[in-house]
Amino acid sequence: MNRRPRKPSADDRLDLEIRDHIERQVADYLAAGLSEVEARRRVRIEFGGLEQAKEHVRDIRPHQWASELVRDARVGFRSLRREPLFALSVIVILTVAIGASVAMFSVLHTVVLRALPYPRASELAMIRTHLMLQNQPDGTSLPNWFDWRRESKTFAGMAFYLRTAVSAVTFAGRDAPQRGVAGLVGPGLFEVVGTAPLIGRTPSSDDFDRRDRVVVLSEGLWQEQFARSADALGQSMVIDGEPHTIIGVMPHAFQIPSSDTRLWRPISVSPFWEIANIEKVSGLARDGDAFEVIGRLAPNHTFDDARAEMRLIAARLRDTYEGNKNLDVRVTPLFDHVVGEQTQRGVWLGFAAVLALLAIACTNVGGLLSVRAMRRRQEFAVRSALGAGRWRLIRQLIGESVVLWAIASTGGVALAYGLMRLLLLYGPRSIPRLEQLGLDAVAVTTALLGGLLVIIVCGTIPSLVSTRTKQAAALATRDQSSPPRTRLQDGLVAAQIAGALVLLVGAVLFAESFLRAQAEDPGYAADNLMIVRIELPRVYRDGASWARFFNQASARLKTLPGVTGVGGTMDFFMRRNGDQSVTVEGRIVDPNAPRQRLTIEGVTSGFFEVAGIELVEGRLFDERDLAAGAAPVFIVNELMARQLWPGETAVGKRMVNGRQPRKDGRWDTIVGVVRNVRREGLDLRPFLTAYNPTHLRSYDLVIRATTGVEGLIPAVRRELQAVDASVPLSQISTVHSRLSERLSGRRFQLQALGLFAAIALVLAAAGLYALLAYHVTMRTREIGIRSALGADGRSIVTMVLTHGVRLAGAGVLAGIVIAASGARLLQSLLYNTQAIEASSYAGAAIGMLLIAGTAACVPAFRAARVSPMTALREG
Amino acid sequence: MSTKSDLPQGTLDLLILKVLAPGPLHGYAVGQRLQQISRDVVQVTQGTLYPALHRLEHRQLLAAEWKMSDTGREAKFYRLTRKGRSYMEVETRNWQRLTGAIGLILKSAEGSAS
Repeated sequence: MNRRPRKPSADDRLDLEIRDHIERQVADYLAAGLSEVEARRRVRIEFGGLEQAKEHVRDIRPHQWASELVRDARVGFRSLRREPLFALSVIVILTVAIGASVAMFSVLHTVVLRALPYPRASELAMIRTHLMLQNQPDGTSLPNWFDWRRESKTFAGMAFYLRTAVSAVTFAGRDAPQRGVAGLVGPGLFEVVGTAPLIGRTPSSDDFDRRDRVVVLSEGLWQEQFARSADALGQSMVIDGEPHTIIGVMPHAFQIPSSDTRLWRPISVSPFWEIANIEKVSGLARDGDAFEVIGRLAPNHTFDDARAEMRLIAARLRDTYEGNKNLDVRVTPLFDHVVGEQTQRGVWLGFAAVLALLAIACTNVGGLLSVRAMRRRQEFAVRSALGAGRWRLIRQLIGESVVLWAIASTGGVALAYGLMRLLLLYGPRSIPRLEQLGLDAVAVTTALLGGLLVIIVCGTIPSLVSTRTKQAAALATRDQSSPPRTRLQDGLVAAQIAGALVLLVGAVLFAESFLRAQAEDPGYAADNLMIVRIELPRVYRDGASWARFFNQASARLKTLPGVTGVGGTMDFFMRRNGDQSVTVEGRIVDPNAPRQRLTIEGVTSGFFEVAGIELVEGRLFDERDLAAGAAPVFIVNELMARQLWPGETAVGKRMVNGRQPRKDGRWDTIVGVVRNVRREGLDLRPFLTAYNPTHLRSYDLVIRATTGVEGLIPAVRRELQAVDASVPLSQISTVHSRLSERLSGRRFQLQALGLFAAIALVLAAAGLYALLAYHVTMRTREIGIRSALGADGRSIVTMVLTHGVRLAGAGVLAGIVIAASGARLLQSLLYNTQAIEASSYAGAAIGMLLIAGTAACVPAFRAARVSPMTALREG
Repeated sequence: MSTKSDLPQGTLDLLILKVLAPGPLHGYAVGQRLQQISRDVVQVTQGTLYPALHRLEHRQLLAAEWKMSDTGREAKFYRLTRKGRSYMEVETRNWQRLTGAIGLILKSAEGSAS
């Protein structure tokens, strides 16, 4: 302890005062003729209540809060320093628990709890077409939007935009051409959403009428290209080869259609606008799905009103138009559309898991504190006998708790910050709004106050419960003839085991789900495959020029060491919605039959070989199929062959793209059948797919190498720039990285839950160990007597193990019940895995019991080694 | 927490104030003086005396000062504050009124019984 002189504390002064009193009394007795020894003896007797008097005086002292708190904390700190292992355990456990909860709560708040950053965002609705037979949401056609908007009374405004995937554009950057997502927005979209531009304006109805080439930039693009200068307004920017005038800048917060949208143009600049003029164009496909519609509820109307009304409108349209036969409408809050239900559920689940972990950690700390309290029963009983009031003891306990809490909170917040940095760097891209994650003041405050409350409750209640025992009994505990009663501690340990089991079951389910998703055969050879997105600028006007670019690029790339093949396909991961159709020769299509999801993919010759997609029967495409005037051919996937020609071969059959036979009566021949290919992400099922040979303007260039495809990326970029430097190369990636990115959401869930479960397991095992070890220590004498009386080691081991196994068993049973009753909430997040799968539960339960058994073995064998002599001597 | 003094609640404070009225004393002397004046009727243990002194100090009826004493050690001397003096006077009057009243009642009760 430090010995430097310090200002005498109130306690020191009290000591001096009392000592002065004693000396005077002794002096008086001496004067009265008593011997020094006798005088001191008498004074001691009279002063039996010395410590008691001190305690009383302490209670009376002015309560200067700050200094009292510092004093209590200092006392707490000192008493913790005497037991560093205990203090360290508590601090580590609390740090981890606080860190994980703060981080997870911040995620919850950022992703799920916060409203969308639009004015009165809760009024905004996503209005989507719903395919009744497929029971699937879909985009909307403009004629339907016109009708919805005209007939609806529950919406104050309704506007549309083009779905993203189609609207990637090339625009002239400062140095090189760039490619980015561009919104094509319908009239009034900005007004319906209500976000004001940072500078400038949004497209007016005149812009639409005159079909002005105007553009609104995103804040990010404005920053990059114009360094946030207002001079940007009125400047010209070349987009897809056409000059556009910049009229405004939208803030970051405006994220429609998506958060990566770089610029917006009125839809009138695109050919889509022509088909939008419904009055002029008759027989327009009413079941088109190119657009999404956003509406704002009219004042005093609820989502239920809107749903009821829109259902009626959809029913009327079904009766009126052939094309609407299969179409219903769904109204959902925009929030649920942006932050999907899966995501919300996943994040809530993560939060629930972290709360469970927090509960386990608190229980564990409570257990540690209460075992410590039982060790300190004597200390407390003595102090209480000396007159220390209950309040003083409570204050000391609170002091200790506050010290632990303060250290753990600091560590916890730092840990949370670190975890969140990691999440931002490596977290799944599939969670919307996660990129806005930051240390959340609400989260930090809640966690810190919650932690304080918990630790004060956990830190004081068990101690007080154990000090309430009769002082005499507590003082007498040195006589350890009866085993300590630890029912409270037993319950705490069993509860931890139950909690840990719940987390473990969750982790096992997610692990199975992830492994099953990952093990799905993609249908192609994913190793050493690279994808480069090609968007040829407008100067490439026709198929011949597209073929020329492809052939030159392909020739150059094949000279690179290791490259074995180059091919092209519209979209390697087939991310379109499978809304195309074919007409098969000689087959009458039942208009009421459910429309199968079908996609037609254009590919170059050689694509299947490069991608490693196996041929099942027939032949693959070759150069002749791509030559001008070649007979049009198709290759279909197995799924399509089996569905359309069950029991016979598809090769040689004829069909055409579209819903009707061609006017000229010509058909295209199917020449081959290939294996099914999973779409992006191995957890998405394949569509019916028909491939036709073609050269394209925008496509994925697929490059196969023998090894180390990542290392080839710079060389590939160089070669492609050598072909034409004006072609933007913004997306070069390997198939592997894309696949794992797609599974990143699942991987993240698995990692998070796995981590929580692991921590919970360690805590539960440590809790069980600590309790049994305490038991063994307290019963050393009893065990010594037993073995002196002839009990062999095995019966002593059994005795301790039984205790441990009983607790673990009770915890596991309770855990299984809790897990099974909560499992249904998990189901929608799992892939090919039942939420109630006996094997998963059994595995988790066995794992838990094994770990608990191991934790129990250590104190059990230590008990068996207790030598009768030492035990008796120690007693 | 029972006080071992047989004094009625609140009277110890008044007695301490009274003992300190003539001049400052240290704790031990306060105890001795109480005993002397009351001819050993009032026995105040340390367990009640010091809490009472500190309570009065906290209520600012007493002020304390560390001074060198006759023993050559520093001792804590208590003295009455202005507030303490007026409190004492008020309480003394109250006490006299109360004891007077109690005396009257006791006397008249005796009278009617006989």
